[in-house]
Formats: sequence, C-alpha cells, structure tokens
Amino acid sequence: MKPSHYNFIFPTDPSKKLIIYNSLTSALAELERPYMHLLNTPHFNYDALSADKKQFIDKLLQGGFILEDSIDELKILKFVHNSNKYDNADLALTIAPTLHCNFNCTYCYEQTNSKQVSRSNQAPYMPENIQLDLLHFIKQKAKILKNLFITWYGGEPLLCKDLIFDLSKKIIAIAQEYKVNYFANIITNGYLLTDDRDMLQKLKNSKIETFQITLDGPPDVHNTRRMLKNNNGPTFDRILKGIKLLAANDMEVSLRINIDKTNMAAAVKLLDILAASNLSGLIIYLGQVSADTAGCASIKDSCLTTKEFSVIKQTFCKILQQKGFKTSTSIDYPHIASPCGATRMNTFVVDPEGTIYKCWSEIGNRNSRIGTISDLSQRNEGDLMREVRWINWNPFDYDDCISCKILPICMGNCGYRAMFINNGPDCTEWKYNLEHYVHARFNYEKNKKIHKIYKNK
Amino acid sequence: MKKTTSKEKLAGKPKEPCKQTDVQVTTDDEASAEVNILVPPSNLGDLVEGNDSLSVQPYPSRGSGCPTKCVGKWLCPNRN
Repeated sequence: MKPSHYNFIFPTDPSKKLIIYNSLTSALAELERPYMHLLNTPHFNYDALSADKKQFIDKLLQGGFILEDSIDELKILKFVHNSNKYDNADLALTIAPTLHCNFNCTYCYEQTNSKQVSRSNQAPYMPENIQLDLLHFIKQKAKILKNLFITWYGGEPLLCKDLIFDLSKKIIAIAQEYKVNYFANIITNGYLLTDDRDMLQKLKNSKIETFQITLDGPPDVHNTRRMLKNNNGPTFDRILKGIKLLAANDMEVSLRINIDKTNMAAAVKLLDILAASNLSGLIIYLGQVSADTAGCASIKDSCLTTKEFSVIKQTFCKILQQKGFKTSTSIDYPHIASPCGATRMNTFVVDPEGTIYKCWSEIGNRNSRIGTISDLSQRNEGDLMREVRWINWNPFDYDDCISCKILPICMGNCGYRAMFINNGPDCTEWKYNLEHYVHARFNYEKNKKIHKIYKNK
Repeated sequence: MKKTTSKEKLAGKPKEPCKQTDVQVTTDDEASAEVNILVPPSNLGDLVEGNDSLSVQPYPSRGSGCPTKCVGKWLCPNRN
C-alpha cells in the first residue's frame, strides 16, 4: 500500500490532532498522530501491520488517503478530466445578442481597439437570419443532449431584452421538445432593470435563474469605474434599485465586486450599504481584475497578483460572515475541478453576427473565431485548427502540473491565460489559500456535529 | 474553582463558562478513534458517469460565486 500523492496534512488548533485533506477525492478527516509515519512511507505491507494500525489504515483507505499499490491516481484524474471534457451530453452557449454597451467601464476586456474590431461596425443586435441559424444549431444538437446551458452576455444584453425574451421562448420550446434540461443566466450591468411588471414577468418566463451584476464599491468608488458611456454619468443608485427589485421578486442575484489595488477597502464599505438595503441574502463574491486582452491592457499596473488576491479574499470572506451575509462552505471548499469551459467540447460563445469563439475573452476579435453558427461543419482550416488547439490544451502537457498536488482542484486554471498570457498554466488561488479553506470546512463540520449532538440532547 | 473531569482534560478546556464546549467534551464519541472522516470522498465513477456536479458545470470560470454548482475555484476576468 501507499499514501496518495494528493494528501495535504495540516495541524489543528489547539488540539494535537491533524487534518488530512485529499485533493483528488475531496475527502477530509481528523486524525491522531501516533501512526502518522505510515502516511510518509512510500510503500508498506498491510499484512505486517498490527491490528491498531490496520484499523487506522482501513479508515484512511475509505477517504482515498491510502491506496493499493496498483492504483495510478494520475491516470484516474486524466480519465475523469477527459470524460468530462469530451462529454457531448451538455451544450453550453454564451450568447451575446449585442456587443453594444451603455457602460464605459475602465477595465472592460472586450476588444474595442480599432486595430481589432470596432463594435460600431457590427450589427447593433443579432439579426433575424442569425437568430434562425442559432435556433437551427441548437435543434440539431438537442437530439443528443441532456443539459442545455445558456448564458446571456454582451455588451449589455438587456439593451435588446425583447430579442432575449423571444429567443428564450424558442430555445425553451426546443429543450422541451427533446426533453433536455434547460438552464439560463444573464450577465448584466443591471442598469436597465426597472420596475416594469411586464419585463419582470418576461424575465421569469425566460427561465433566467441568476443575474450576475457588478458593484465595485460605494457610489463614490463604483461611479468612477463603471460609468455611463456617453457622459460618464453615475450608475450606482440605479443598479442598486434594480438589484432590490430582483430580490423583491425572488430572482437570484450573484453580486460580483471586481477588485484591484485601488478599491479593496471599498468592497467592505459596500457591504454596509447592502446590509442597510436588506440585501444580506445575496450571493456576494470578489472578482479579480486582470488585464488579459488588448481592450484592458492599460489597467495592468493596478491589478492584484493571484497571491495578493487570495489574501484579500480570505479576509473578505471573514467579514462577510461577521456582517451576517450569506456564505457557503460548499462553494469555498476545493473539489475536483472541471476543465476550463473553453477547452471543453460543446461550449461556444456566439456574437451578434453569428461568429463563434471558444472563450469569452475573445468575443469581438474575429482573428480568434472558430467558425460561424451557420456553417460550423464547413469552416476553413484556420477556424478548425483554432478550435482543435483549444480542445487539445490540457494541464497534463506540463511537468509542473503533473507533479503538482493541487492539480485535481486546479486543472490548469484558465485556458486563455495559459495559452495567450502566461505561456503556461496560471496557478489558481488554491496554491496560496488551500489551508485556510480546508480549516474553514473542518471547523464547520466539527461545529455541525457539536450542534447536532446538542440538539439531540 | 471547579474540578475538571477526565473528558474535559482530554479536550484541554474547563467546563465553564461555555455550554457548547461542555457538549463537545461530554459527547465526543470519537475521542478514541484515530481517524474521523468529516467529508466523505467524491465518487470518481459518478463524476465520469455524469452523476455529480462536475458534469453539470461546463463553465467553471464563472467565479466562485457561481450559483450553478461551480466545482472549482475559478475566477473569470472582468465580466461586466
């Protein structure tokens, strides 16, 4: 027998026990020290162990902390990864019905440089013939699908809300016809969400489950980062009103706070405003601003490193909890990671002209296209090879990843950064904060157990 | 000063004043167990067969706040 390559052992505080976490199985256990040396022994003979030691090892076997010699964990990981990557039972479409936007965010990554593609040269909204091509594309795929995921994206998608309502109705009908599970969400700046009964009902009819909306701090900070396009006007108050409206109508909001070196403290101040607005039930999380494309290269100096971001995030999560906001231990507990969406089969980003890309960061940059929605099967070699390159990218091509203990919960992170920014994988936050989140889950589980016992008494 | 019980000594904490500590000490039936599994392992076979969350989240890069069972710890760049 042998210990798993993916074990992490951390001390508990103040107890003399230890925590063991396995990044391949996500199992977590508390253990005592006496037989710990077995976890540091490359190979040992189970039959030669004492009864006590066997009992210890049997438990560790359950969690995948100890393995039979014949088990090759890396091959298991590759198998799980590739099974998911080449699974064609899911179709994930990110649809941008427009690339126009009413905002002029300082850090927007979409390509607006005249050397790339000017959005003003594109049709303002997805024309009817492209919509028909899109529906045809979905219908063809639906025959073998199990799940269909739609993300409404932009530009600002609510600039053409009627188009979204209409397309949603038709896509939902296809999903029903072929008995495919349908899931939809929207990434919107929230500015156009008004107290309009008809609009709210149509959003519900469109089965949009979650609205991802961003506020970057209190008004004085947010309004200098996320302002209106034409006059740099403020946007905070109206967005907050929109969020309240959604919350009041039982529609889920995922509130993102994009942070960099200039607005870290502002994120905390925003929480007080949200609490005062009775919005403590929102899902709130920090986004790391990064200068990934030519569209946002100018903000590079103000970006946080992943290590810096991970430290801030730990503190922020504690503050969220202290202030009574909704937090989830399951979200922040490391599980085996699925492949980056862009490196997966059957995931596509579609722009208003029907051009298809693999990654959100490429939208609007026609040099990155992999085809068009009308003729994906008859595309040229260049388009084909761009998709082939995306799908073939995987972390197993890198020695550093293969030997890395966090590989199962990282899987090389963002494919775009690996291929076009870093010239190799860009390690995830787990590299810097794994112990923190494993400890948090450990404490949660221990307290849960204590509360259960207390309740039963 | 109150006398501490043997179980309290094991936990290294006095009985008073925290009631929760009291419960932990007096009911911790794992005190003698060497391994206490708190989070069971994922069934890797289920992940392959599409019966677990890995298969229903094709976009891990939506961020840790992703409501649709994000299984990774991913943060996408400056989405809106």
